[in-house]
Amino acid sequence: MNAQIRQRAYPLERGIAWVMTFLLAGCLVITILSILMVQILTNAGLHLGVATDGAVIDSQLEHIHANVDMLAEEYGFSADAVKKIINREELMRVNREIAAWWTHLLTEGDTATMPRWYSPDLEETVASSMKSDTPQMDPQTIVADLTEMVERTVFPLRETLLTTGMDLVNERADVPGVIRSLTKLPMLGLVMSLAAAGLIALLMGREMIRSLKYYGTAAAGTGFAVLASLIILLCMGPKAMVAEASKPLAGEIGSLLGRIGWEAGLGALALLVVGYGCLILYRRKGGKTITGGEQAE
Amino acid sequence: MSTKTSTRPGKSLYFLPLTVAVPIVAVILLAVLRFWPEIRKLLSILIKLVVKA
Repeated sequence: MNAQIRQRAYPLERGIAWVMTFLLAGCLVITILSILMVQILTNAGLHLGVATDGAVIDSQLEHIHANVDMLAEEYGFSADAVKKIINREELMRVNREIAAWWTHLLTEGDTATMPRWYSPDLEETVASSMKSDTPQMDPQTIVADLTEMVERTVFPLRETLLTTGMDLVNERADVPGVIRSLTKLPMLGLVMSLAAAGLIALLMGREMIRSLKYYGTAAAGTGFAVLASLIILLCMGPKAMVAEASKPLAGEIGSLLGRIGWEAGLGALALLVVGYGCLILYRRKGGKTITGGEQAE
Repeated sequence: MSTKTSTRPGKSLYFLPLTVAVPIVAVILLAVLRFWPEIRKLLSILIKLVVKA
């Protein structure tokens, strides 16, 4: 009853506590978003994981082999011999090299030229497998076409546009410094969250247990909001949107979003567990049974 | 005769997180529904710009 009386007696205190709850939820959202942004920008392991994802490699291999068949029909070389050279392991290697280059470009602003795919056996294989009944093409031209097709499948973005853009950014800002500052954002969000939580605890004074209601509401509310946002993002169909421009890129974007989505989903679940844990604890400990005698006091 | 009164919060407490989640989701939904054609157009231009033809 004391708690009820106190709650009725301090509407301003409760009002401020609710404002702080929304602030805490906002800080938690900022923390989660900045964690995801930092992951995308700086986590070399994430990009390597996407580049060597089995589904991504399979989709690239399928795309490359379909194009090899098409080129073989046009130029008259043996598609099977070329397919043996452009195999799964070779694609894995190229993907790994390009992922390392891409991560350096993102995190260090390193505008070195993109690694090129080169197979010493390709020209010989193409030349020796040319059918005599088709018009003879220069094997070097065929190899150049095959090389460009493989590189375009593995990295479908215009690398010159990216490196030129990064050169311009490098002239105006210290990219590694900016990235280092960005990595501090999650910590800043966490500190702001702790500050908001501390203020709620201060407002509750001696009845600290009541803070649990506000902490639980903010944490579980943020968890729900993050889960709902993920569902909205899924409904927007980003993979299909990218697939209209490039199918190999759609595979990579799908893998990246899947990994980031899992992390965000697990974070949201953790917030829901912590939030409802606080609410359950508050419900168990926050109230008390008072006898008639105590009420009269 | 002694009476007992419980100040234990009710089960409606468990719906409180929705008071935080609903406004956030509503803002996101409103923004997406209102600006979706523009967002889509902008994204497709950006994708076409960076993806090799």
